[in-house]
Amino acid sequence: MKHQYVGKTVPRVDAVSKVTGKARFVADFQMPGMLYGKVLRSPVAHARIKRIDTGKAKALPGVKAVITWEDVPRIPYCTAGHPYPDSSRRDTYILDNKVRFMGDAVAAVAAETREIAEDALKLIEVEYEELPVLVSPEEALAEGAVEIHEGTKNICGQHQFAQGDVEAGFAASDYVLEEEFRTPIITHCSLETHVSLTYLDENDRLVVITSTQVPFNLRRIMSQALEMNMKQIRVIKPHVGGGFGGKAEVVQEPLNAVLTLKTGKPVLLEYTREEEMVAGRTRHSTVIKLKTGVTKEGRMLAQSMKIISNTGAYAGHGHAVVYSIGSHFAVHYPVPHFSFEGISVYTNIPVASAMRSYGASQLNFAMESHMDNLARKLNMDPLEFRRLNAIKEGEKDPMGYFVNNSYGLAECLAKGEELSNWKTKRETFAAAGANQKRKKGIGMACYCYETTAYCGAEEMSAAIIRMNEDGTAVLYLGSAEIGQGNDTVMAQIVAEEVGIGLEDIHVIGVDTDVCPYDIGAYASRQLYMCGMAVKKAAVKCREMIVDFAAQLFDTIPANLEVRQGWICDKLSGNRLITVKETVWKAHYNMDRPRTFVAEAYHGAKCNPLSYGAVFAEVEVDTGTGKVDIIKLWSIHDCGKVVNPQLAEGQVHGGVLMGMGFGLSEQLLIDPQTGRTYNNNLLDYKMATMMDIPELEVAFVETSEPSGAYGNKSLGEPPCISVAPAIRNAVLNATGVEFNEAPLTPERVLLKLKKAVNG
Amino acid sequence: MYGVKQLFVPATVKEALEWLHQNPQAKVIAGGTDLLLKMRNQAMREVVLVSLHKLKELEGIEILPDGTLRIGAMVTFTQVNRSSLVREKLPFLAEAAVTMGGPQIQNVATIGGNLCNGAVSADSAPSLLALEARLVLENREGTREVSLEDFYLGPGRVDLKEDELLTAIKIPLPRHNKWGGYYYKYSMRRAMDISTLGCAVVCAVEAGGQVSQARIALGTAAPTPIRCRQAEALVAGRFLSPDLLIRIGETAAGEAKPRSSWRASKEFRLELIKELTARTLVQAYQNAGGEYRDEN
Repeated sequence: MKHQYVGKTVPRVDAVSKVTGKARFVADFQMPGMLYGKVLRSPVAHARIKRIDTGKAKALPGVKAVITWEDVPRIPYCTAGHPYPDSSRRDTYILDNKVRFMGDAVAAVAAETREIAEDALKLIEVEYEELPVLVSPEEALAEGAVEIHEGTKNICGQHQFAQGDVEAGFAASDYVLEEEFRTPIITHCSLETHVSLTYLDENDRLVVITSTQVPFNLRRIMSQALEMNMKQIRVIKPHVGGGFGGKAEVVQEPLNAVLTLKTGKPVLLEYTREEEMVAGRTRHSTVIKLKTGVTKEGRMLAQSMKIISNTGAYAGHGHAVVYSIGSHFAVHYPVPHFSFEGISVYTNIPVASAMRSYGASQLNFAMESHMDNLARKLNMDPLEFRRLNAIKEGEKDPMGYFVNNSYGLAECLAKGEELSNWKTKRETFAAAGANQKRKKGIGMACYCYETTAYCGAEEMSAAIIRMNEDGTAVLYLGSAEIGQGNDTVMAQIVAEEVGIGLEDIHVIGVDTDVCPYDIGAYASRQLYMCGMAVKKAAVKCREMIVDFAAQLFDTIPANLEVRQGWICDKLSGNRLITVKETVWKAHYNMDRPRTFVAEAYHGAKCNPLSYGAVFAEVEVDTGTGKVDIIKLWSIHDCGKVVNPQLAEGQVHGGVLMGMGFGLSEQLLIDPQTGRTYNNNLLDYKMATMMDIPELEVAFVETSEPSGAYGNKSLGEPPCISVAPAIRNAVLNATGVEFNEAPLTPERVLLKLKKAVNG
Repeated sequence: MYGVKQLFVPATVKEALEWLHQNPQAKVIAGGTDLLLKMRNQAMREVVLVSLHKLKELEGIEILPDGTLRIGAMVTFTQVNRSSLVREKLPFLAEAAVTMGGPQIQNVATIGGNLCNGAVSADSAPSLLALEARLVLENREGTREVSLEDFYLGPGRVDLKEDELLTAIKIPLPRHNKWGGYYYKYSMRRAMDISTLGCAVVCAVEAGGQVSQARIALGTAAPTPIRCRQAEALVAGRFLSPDLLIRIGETAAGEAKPRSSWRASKEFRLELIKELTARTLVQAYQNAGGEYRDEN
């Protein structure tokens, strides 16, 4: 079927407001009498609060409220922004009488200016009874270690599963390789930090304007944390400056709400960058042990995985991330015998939680590095080794979590092989490199990844379309535009199905007072889930309009169809009336006036796999340890592409995020004190525009039968295989296996020197 | 949010020096790219500032009658980079100027501020050390000159009295007809980063190809930017060779005093010093017209 809008690059619906600076983000909302919130952060990583004296702070002119744990509801809640029931632990209080990491919230102030609020923080006197600081999972799991959360033994969650007989599988293998991989703490670095503006409306309802990915889950969690019903809370998500998972969470809104409830005033609570990087959220650091048995022909027979995930001081999404890792573990390279053990550990470091790919980046770094190490031991081409063992067309997920009804992995591999000139480079680089100081290499990695949170979370999306009298429309969304282009693609779908122009559609998202329920922007799900809800609503809307037109022309709806904004006679193709004029006539109608408002919801029935591959060509400077990326090829099967330019943009951003994970980004923590060393963008080495390598993006368009237009996920996948592809290219260049990310120059240089010197 | 208590904007150097004399607690602000960060981080509050923005005497790049190049202390990195005089006389210094920060920072940060801030990682320091630059310091009582090498006293500490202003940097232009220089900034990113190691070499080459003299300077390799005189002595009068380059690197590493921090280990920094001293020397030698085939 030929589409007019779907599958086309159209301008973003928010393009003009964003480039002209008119688009409003949370901190752009100013209100009369607005106060500024600031949080007192713990200078120690683990302590009981023996005493807090806020007297001097409260006495400072301009200070309107100072709150401590004694002023907030004593209700533990789960910060993970998932639907009910909570997917993670309820271990967080708005403020507590214990601090669990350096930077934990101790108290909060609302004052007339930021400066006064900051001065007030310094006047709060706190006496801490310090406790042992546990930074690594090893320390936290040691016999007799102090419990960060009582009764947990510092275990946030753990699970295991197995199929077949993994030990028998190893015994039957010709070769068994066991290795350990380590991944760093990464942080999201959204351009906009966590920020909210809370106030009471004229009915004393709590309004929360916030930078969030999950407006409805946030409202639900706040209603529990504050013991208010949902009618009493209105959540508004304006433009959001990036989320990447860090805002799929309730990080600071309940605390800000208490400041508003205490003062009756609007309060803006905006984290500084330094605060964000300690008190926001991070990607879990992990230690992953992989053990694989293969035949001498390279066929994998058995595989086991053990993962320790450091979740930091509070659960956040916690062990749900390890569940996701486990669900993806067995499907990429299906083997007859496998086993998995995962544990998430509490420590006294910043809170690790959801971040783009939800654990798949850690899993993929370990797995794809391991695959290259295995291929090397077998003296096989790593691409051929993957082809032999990866999931095939029609092959089922052994665990049954995912469906494989649109399969593009093999084609992604073929495309990458061709575009990167893989075979020639593998041969020539290896031959040329021996005595050169700068060594070239080429490597690759591939992935498969979910399209929704189903069946890990209760999946639902909904949409409402209301036709204006003139045939323009308002689209109400619960799904969250956070920069990725959600509102644009949803408007494309309405334009396509209703038969009006893209410029005729105004999108409202998200205001919980008027928009329908949606679980939000995570799991790369919105175009797949909400896209289907919008399509259903738009089809309903079109059918109502056609129905009305049939009455106007004294025919039956089955004789009519909508083509390019016209209602046409199906047989002759004659244009009878425009869609917009039909809507006009329906509203201003003496005999049978009517409105057109359509609501639809969509629940998931399956979770399709998306696929992709990254090929990387690098040059390693063996004198300085620097890895220069010559070129990256990023190839994705996300089903049908709905907006090519947005899709490519999504890949660009994901590749940079993956590159940071592979080469430079890591949040560093003092192992003794738990202090974060580099919570700023000078010392946290996120790439700048100058560091971006040449990148070629390609799509392999399969058609997913359960997607509204054959589409699957693309939000998270582009970040997944970048780091291991780079790592494998370095292996190709140097012959040295780096099993810990990131491959910083220091790590590379010292290991290369060691390899040379023996 | 920056907590400025008072801002004084003098029109002449004389006025500035008089005011500084009377307000010794005042902080001098030039481009502000270091100072404003400190103020934002509340390392300083309620600050009294003296701005140098209107001081024409601190601007400009010129050749003095004695043949030295004078760069006004308020000259920005972008201006150093774009100066036709610098490009003609000291092309490597023009290139070195734009290794610092990013374009926006280079447009406001000044060369004088970069030196007075005393950072061991200052991107202008190694090149100016290798050029044996001298600093003109003035107070109400008069003017004195110190070498840049003597100006650095320790980490973040420079020989600048409370009532003194750095007004100009004087660079004796190399007189040898075959000379070249190079600054190698080693950092984790290509922009918006501080150097893990900075190395500058100025080198003169004889007609026969021997190095007649080389000056080697390192930044972020010791508590202050340093000259490596033992390494310099090793290369004087010699032809470059792989063996010599290794020895130069090792000698420079012996003269440096890098420390381990969470940013980089001492072991790593020593490896970089060895490698980059040799590489920078080769590049400076080639820029001087010397022919050396690098095995890289």
